[in-house]
This record gives sequence, C-alpha cells and structure tokens, in this order.
Amino acid sequence: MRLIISRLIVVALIGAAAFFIWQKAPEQNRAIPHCPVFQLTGFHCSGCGSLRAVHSLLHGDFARAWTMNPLTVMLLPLIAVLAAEELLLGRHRLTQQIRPAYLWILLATFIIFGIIRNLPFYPFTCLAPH
Amino acid sequence: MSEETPVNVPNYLWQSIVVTILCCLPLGIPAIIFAAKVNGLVAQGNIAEAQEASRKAKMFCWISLGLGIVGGIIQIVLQLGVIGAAAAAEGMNY
Repeated sequence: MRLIISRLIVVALIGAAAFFIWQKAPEQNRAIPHCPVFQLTGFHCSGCGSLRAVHSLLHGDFARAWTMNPLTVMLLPLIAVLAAEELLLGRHRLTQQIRPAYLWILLATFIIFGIIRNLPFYPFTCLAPH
Repeated sequence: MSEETPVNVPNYLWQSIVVTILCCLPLGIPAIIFAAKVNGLVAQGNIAEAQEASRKAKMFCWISLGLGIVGGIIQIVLQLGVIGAAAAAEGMNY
C-alpha cells in the first residue's frame, strides 16, 4: 500500500512537472534557472536543451525538439516505457532485460554526444541547441 | 524448472537517464554506470554485488537530483540578484 501511494505521488509529480514545462517556454520562464553547468563552463552538456525539447514535444513541435536535443528526443520513449512499467505496473522486468552491452553503449553515447556537440564547426554545430 | 527465478534488483536506469539529462550530468554518469553494472551482475548470478550496485545507482540518482535542485535554487537567487541590481542601476538613471 505504501509503495502504491509513493508511486502515485511520483506519477503526480511527473504530471505537475509536465504541466509546468508545457505552460511556458523554459527560456522565457524566470522560475526555471539557467543551467549552472552551462553558466560555469560555457559547454553544452549532453542534456542541454532537454527542457526546451520536452516543451516543444508537449506542443507537438517535433522538429524544434529535435534541434534542441536529439538525444533526449530519442531517449524519451525509452524513459516513458521503463517509467510506465515501474510506476503503473510496479515491476522492473523490461529494464532488467536490457543487455549490459547496450547500457555501456548508451553511456558512451552520452559522453561522445556531450563532446561533439561542443565542436565549433559543421556538422557538429547542428547538435548544439539552436 | 524451465524458467529461472526472476531476481528483482532494480537498476534505476530511467531515473539515472532523467537525472543525467535534466539535473546534473557529472553525477548522472556514475548513476548510469551502476545501473549498467546491475544488469551485468544479475546476469552473472552475483546478486549480492548487484544489490550493492543498485544501492549506489539509487544513491547517485538522489544526490544528482538534490544537486540539481540546490544548483537551480542558487541559480534563481543569483539571477534575481542580477535582475534586481540591473533594475536598481536603471532606477538610478532616472
């Protein structure tokens, strides 16, 4: 029972977060801070543009979401499926069936994407939020 | 027994990805590493170490989320400070 309640709370929080991101563009919303990592280093990390991408997706603008962060756009379906399994069904079967090799590839993708999107020349400039 | 007994060791994979892309990349990466380790260790049948990796993945997720929230709050305060200072400077011009 306690587990079900905590799962419901997480679902409610995700819903509230989605509404918050949907109702106003993150770059115009003063309640959403600029990323401290970007402010400190000037680099786009592999997550940079994720909020703007999610905002665009919630408004059905796939193309803009893609220009903000293609990796986030590609990972969102995976996150949604795994989160739905855990939060709605209360099991972890899918996430545990993923082969370790794929998870290491995912990790490498994160790191490589985080590096190449900071390269200041075409075509890598397409990978930075723009 | 044709099917092996399922061992339930949560790997916190989706939580790790979420905190990595939304909160704090430097701490999200170790969370993904430990999430990846869980599946490998379970596959090897090393449940004790899998549970240890699971615990660490969870810990890094929470630290990353916490840092993301704290960093965000500090950033908002700094931004408000800058806006306040700019407004004050503007006020002096009149």
